[in-house]
Amino acid sequence: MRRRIITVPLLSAGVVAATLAVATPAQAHGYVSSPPSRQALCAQNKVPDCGQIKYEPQSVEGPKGLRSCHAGLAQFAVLNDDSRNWPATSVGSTVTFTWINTARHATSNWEYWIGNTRVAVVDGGGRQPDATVSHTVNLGGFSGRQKLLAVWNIADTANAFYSCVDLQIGGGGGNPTPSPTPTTPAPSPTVSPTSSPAPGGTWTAGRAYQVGDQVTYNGLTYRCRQAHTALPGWEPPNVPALWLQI
Amino acid sequence: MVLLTATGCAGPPESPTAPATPSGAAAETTASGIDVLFLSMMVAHTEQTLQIVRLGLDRTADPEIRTLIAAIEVTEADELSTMRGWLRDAGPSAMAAAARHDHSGHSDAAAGLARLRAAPAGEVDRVLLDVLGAHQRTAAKLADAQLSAGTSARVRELARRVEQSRTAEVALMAKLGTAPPSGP
Repeated sequence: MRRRIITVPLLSAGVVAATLAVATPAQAHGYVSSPPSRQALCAQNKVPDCGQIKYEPQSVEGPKGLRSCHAGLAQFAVLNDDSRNWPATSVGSTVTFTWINTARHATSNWEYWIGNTRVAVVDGGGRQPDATVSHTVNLGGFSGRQKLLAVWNIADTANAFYSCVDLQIGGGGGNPTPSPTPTTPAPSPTVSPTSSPAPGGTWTAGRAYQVGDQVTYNGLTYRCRQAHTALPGWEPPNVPALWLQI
Repeated sequence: MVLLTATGCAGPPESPTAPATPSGAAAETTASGIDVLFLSMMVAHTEQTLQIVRLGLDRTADPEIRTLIAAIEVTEADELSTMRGWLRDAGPSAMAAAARHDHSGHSDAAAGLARLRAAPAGEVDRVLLDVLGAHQRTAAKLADAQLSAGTSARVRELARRVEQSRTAEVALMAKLGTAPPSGP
């Protein structure tokens, strides 16, 4: 096991953490968004009366080696209160955890703990992670309601980020999403104009449009304002900079 | 290529409102901490995108790349003002939280911008596509995570569009990157 102890002051004298111009090591922030960690549930307003954590789920940071849910921070103590009604996400024996990293500091590793058992460790190689990171963890050996502690150990500070996730392990396999993910079909014409079709016809992703081209989309007619190749997500009603409804 | 400036009749770039969910359409006007976090990150990220594409417009002569990044510029400028408006709607605590995020990810974009500024003329297109591609891939991933974590319907709808458009841009840039170079 690599042991590299680097002591970095979190706040240098005279530097305020909120100052934009100066970088502080406390920039590294992250939390488990899926299945939702306790701080995510607070930030989603799914658990009431959480206090400050609901505005900064990514800030549960403390020294490495803690086993609490709140990194020992008094203002986030609610996260460590097991008597709160934390909803548990139903999962099978393998679970994919997703971290959202609001700043991407070099990573030693990620650890996943249930009680005193480390169920998974993922090496970070001292590298910066992506903006989101997902790990599939096998929880075999555990069942029923469990509190899992996910830890992001930072490589270049003495700190780590902590996310407790309440799970109901058992039943079907896999990782059902706690709330339905909206699935929208790719744009397709729902209305054909009864008069002669506008030049260009119905809006189609992947087609290159020039200024002045006209298309219909969901029964409305648009004129192209700026040349571009149409992309999903750039449907005419969504991008008034590119399409003018006429 | 003619650039038309936005006129008043274009209206705010709001998507069609998602149908009210059983949990209440009140979610439309109340952004949760998760939504605010996403909006803050996307505001910072989008500001960086605009810096990258504007520098790209200064440096690249390739007509297909110029068309793409000019479209990215105008669409993301609109998204930026939408997101800033939603953060304002979310109230002073949200705005304070957002202000704490202005530094996030800056180092990544700063490095990319520096590479782009320093790239010799024959390398500009390759570096631009590389830097912008990586940047938009990040946006797609953030938006994708938001789709399962967010609560506000309108923020989720924006995240859906971000995920789709950035993913498509990355694919388009990959194709442009393999086209025979059209250098000056």
